[in-house]
Amino acid sequence: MKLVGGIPGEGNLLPAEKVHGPTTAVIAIMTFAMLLVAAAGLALTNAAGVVAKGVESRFVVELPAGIAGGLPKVLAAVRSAPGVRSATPVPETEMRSTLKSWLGSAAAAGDLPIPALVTIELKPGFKPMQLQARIAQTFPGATTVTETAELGPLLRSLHTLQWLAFSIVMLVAVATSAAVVLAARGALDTHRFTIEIMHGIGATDRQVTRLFERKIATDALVGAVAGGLAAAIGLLLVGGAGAAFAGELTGGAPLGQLDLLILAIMPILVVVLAILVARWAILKALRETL
Amino acid sequence: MSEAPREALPGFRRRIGVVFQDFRLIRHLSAYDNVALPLRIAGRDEAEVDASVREMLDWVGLADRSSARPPTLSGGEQQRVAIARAVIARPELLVADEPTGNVDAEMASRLLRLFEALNGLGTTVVVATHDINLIALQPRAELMRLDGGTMVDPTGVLKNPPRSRAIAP
Repeated sequence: MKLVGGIPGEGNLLPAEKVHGPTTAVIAIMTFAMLLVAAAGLALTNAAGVVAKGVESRFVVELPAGIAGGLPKVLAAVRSAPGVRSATPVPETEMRSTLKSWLGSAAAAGDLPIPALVTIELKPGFKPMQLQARIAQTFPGATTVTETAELGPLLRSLHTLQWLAFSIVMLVAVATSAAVVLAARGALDTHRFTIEIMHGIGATDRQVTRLFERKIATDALVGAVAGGLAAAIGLLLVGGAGAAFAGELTGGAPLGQLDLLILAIMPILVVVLAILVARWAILKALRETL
Repeated sequence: MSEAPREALPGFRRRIGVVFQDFRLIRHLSAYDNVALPLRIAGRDEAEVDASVREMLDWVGLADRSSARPPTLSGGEQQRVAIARAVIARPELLVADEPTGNVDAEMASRLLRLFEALNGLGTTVVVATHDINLIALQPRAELMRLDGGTMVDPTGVLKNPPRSRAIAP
């Protein structure tokens, strides 16, 4: 028994439609939403990465006023320690300026004890724990605060938003699949007579399925391209305004080349998903009914 | 048959040709494509399909109507397209329900000759008909008569059914 994958001239076996139906519109909207959410998720991932990378090698040493040896001794000790890229004291004028918000003119009073702050940045590969321990041992009373601890809530929020974006993309994919299943079942009902004749003549389920795959693939391709173009325009408009802000925040473009590649592939994945879901739905429906 | 695995059915169906009383042609396909369908489903080479379809359409007198769609064909023409589709793949069994019901006497005679030729090549031909004259044209055929939905002569040896009794409701 020879079973073939397709039928020559199968493009004519279902009547041609001049206008793409609601499936195309649904897939276009879903692709548009999916790309925007994915772009937001990728931008958040980049932002979180930049923030995390920036703070993991930095910490601040706080020296209470009147500590033995004072700031110069601490700076000398820290700068001679291995793995330290820089140790920068926060100027006292800056400290007093910050305090002015709460204390008013009293912040400028000379008798107000102002602690000294030193921002320390480590070289790549060095962890702050060893140096923190050494500072605490050498200068009792000095306290250290890692920026990771300070920015922990922000990073956690960014990660939560990443997962939220990923979940929304997955939900949109599920919704797209559901729309394809409904479209496939609708198409089967519309063309039931043709399918019955083909089965009666000896067509396999796979041959019948290919007819509908072809139609749904065309609809999905048109929808995905339309949705993808709309999303690209939207990202250019929104991204143009947001890029400067994002660049200021993260020190670079919100979306890298890899991100753009991922976004470009997504419409193709939507088409592949639509074809696979349509195949599954039609084969299942054929086995249930005929 | 009802217990055969689903995967076995297409191969089994390809060995059977069926002429339905209501023709069951695909309306948006041309007569040519309707007749070609069994061969294309079977995966035959397109050159072979073309030669076979043209020969078959010529044989049933529809060579000049090959691009016409079923809604534009008369009942008799649709019936001939249905017959051409049923026999083109040389099935082992041909089941025809009133195959000459909508054709003139000359075409009915040609169709019967086609059925005889197929039978000579090894195809078992089963024809359901009300047409006594058609039966008379087939003196060598084995007959089974249905009366009130019941097979009255299941042996197939009945050669001259009584004209006074109804045949096949």
